[in-house]
Amino acid sequence: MSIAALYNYNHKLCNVPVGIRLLYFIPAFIIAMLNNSILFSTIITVLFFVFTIIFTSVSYKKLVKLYLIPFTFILIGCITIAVSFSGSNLIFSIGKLKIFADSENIIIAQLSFFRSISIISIVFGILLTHSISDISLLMKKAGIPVLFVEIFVLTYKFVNNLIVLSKMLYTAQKCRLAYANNRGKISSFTMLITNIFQQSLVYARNVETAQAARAGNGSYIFMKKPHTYKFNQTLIPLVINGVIISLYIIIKA
Amino acid sequence: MNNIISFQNVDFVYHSGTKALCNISINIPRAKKIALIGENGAGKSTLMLHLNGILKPTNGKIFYNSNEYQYSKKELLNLRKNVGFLFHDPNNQLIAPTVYEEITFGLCNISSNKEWIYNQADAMIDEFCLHELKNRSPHELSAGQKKRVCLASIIAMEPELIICDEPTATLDPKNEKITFNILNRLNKNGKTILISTHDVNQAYEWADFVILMSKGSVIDSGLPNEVFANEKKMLQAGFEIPHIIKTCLSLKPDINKNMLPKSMDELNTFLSKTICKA
Ligand SMILES: Nc1ncnc2c1ncn2[C@@H]1O[C@H](COP(=O)(O)OP(=O)(O)O)[C@@H](O)[C@H]1O
Ligand SMILES: [Mg+2]
Repeated sequence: MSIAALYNYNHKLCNVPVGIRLLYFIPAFIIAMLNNSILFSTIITVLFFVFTIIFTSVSYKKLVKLYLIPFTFILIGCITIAVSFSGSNLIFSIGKLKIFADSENIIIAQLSFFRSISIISIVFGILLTHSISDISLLMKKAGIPVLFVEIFVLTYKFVNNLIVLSKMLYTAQKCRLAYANNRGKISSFTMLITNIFQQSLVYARNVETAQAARAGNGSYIFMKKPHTYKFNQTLIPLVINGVIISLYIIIKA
Repeated sequence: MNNIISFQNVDFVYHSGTKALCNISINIPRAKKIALIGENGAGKSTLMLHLNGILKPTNGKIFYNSNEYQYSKKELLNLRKNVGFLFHDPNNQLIAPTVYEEITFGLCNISSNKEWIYNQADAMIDEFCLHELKNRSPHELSAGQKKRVCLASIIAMEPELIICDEPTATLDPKNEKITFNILNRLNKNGKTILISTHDVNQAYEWADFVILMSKGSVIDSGLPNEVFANEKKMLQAGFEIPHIIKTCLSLKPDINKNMLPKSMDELNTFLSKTICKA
């Protein structure tokens, strides 16, 4: 399950200027980073999970699957924070190996876990409502040098092609029973890699030729019509953020 | 000045040593629908890549509006503004994150007037019915849609000559028809259209002028009824003569080539006349 596969280009915010779109996410993001309360993190997670579903109309099953990827990593990370080889609170021992989990560590681990998940839910919200071109626009507005923005856009294009190409070659090999036995597996895999490499080079050359044909000069500038700003578009994110901030203050108090 | 581009004794050898073009001398007539016919590997793509200066002849000269091609940056930019190229594989051409930006890409390269760029892009979105697609990533479109986006991004630059390398090779009949309708409309507005193809039947009905290539040489060029009715040269290039001509010749071997029917409808009229007489 990849973000690109879930991206709905007609999501409900697609006609909202990128600056305003970020208003939905950035304040909540900052607060989520500062926050020390598990309750608040949970609220944020649920809130943005629901938002993402409302804004992008992806099915919740698919979204849960997407969450599972970082979830696993974060879980493993937090477990390593919680346990240690020394301490006062023994939880289990295998032979001479003793595993401890002090309550202090457990609290930190819990907190990091919930905070990370809440941040992930906001980041997924951003990624699923911003296309590659929106992100590149943001990068430009943030003053990131054009060169890096170009690299970002082109990497996306080439990685995309690389994935398609590898899948195609791999299927073509499998159709000819390339991976049927162990000896075949190794040589087929080597051939797959060399071919992906070769064809990528050819592809890169063709892309360059095709851009030159459109008077390209090696720089990749794209232009998008700026959206018109409307004041009432800022109302909803402001209200939402107002609610989030007051919740934060209440919970903290 | 009725020729938009002329080749004079052009040779081209690839770095690998393949001699792809030998001694080509042809004139490309202005405001016509031209078909470049040849087998795979005959050198069609190579010849077309010379037209907008991507490849430079090893020997010989090329003229655009009677001016010899110059390969300086400035001259090339000017040339590419006027000669648009639709590549065989849309995946090579599509580079931007969205369809809209794809269309503005070429425009940004030739102008810095934002107002004009937006106007051109919007006009293309209308003309090619891309409203539904304009915010989508070009990579995830169907073959027909990709072709349409590529074509739109080229036409936006308002070239005088539009080159299409096997424009219908990956398309289904419906999308093929859409593409040809677009090309015909452009031709009505005075643009010169040059396509490469190996579909002789389609080329016979569509083209005003034909160039026949074989093994890197132009072996014949002229009006479709003359070139396509020349069985010997067609065989030499590896083709059979179009069905319409074949049918007429089998009924009336001594037919005047100018009287050959051009389309299926004309063939029907011809058949009913000939058969009724007999
Ligand atoms: N990039 C290249 N490098 C070396 N040889 C090439 C290249 N592209 C084409 N050729 C060779 O040039 C000849 C003509 O190819 P091409 O112009 O692609 O033919 P067509 O488009 O008619 O199928 C072929 O023999 C082909 O192998
Ligand atoms: Mg070709």
